[in-house]
Amino acid sequence: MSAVFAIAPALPLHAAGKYVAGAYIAFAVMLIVYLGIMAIRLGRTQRELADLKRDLESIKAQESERDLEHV
Amino acid sequence: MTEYGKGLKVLSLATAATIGLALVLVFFYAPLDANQGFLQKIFYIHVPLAIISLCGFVFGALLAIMHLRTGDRRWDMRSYVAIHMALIFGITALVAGSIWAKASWGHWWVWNDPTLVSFFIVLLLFATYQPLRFSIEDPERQARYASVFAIVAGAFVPLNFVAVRLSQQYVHPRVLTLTGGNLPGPMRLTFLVSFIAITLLYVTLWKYEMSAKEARMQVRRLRRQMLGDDRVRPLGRSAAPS
Repeated sequence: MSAVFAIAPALPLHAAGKYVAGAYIAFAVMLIVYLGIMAIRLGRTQRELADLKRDLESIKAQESERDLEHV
Repeated sequence: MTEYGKGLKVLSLATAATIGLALVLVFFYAPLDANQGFLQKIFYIHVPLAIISLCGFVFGALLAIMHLRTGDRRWDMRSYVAIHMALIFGITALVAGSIWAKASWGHWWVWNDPTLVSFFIVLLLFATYQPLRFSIEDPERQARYASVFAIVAGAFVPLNFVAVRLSQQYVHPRVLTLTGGNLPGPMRLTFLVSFIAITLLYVTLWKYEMSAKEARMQVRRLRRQMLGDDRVRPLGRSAAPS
């Protein structure tokens, strides 16, 4: 193991910084993309729910009209 | 609120706080590694992601066993989301690992490292999970075949892990062992917090996706009940459980 590190010595901060930043940015990008996709899906579900509400209200309105006609 | 939405807010806040704490510990508390220097900071994200990814595959296999035992399709959904999340975590671990390899070894990828190659094989194996699902049109058969695949592939994960551990020619740094490893105290604490943060993230995202899928299914179910099956547009062919 030490032989591996002997041929791969520690990089100075200015050289290692970009790699460390790259790794953490990759993680952040994964998180942001995933949450973005989930937010889009959530928006779709909310729209479907709004449609459902509208349909329910129109069914209710039709039923109340029918009830009034019977009376 | 859906079954999986319960406690999601608290869990999300706990996850965000733990990730914040882990980042503070990584960059302001953990000492620089004598050999690797600042580059070793990648370890705190790469290793937990890889471990949680592998655990996620096994978790998916356990949920698939529950699906085959009970025949309840909700277990298939849980297994699907567990594997989906594990795959995302695995790909991120691989990217972070490649960045570390480039800085440390001078190559983005090496084929003579058993840990690296075995992880890649596991990832490729689970990458076929979604196409397998997509290739089967009947939802019942899709769920059953996917569960069988998840169990077999899930069993491969610990076998693979043991095989790599038994192999003698490592080039991959091995800092965690069954005897406690060789991490000094502050580094070990930082790693532990990072590991908890990534575990919480996995659980939160799993619950989040389960909650979203369940909400979508409830909306469809309500629409069917209200308007009748013929007025609800059928779902297209999908790899996701429906």
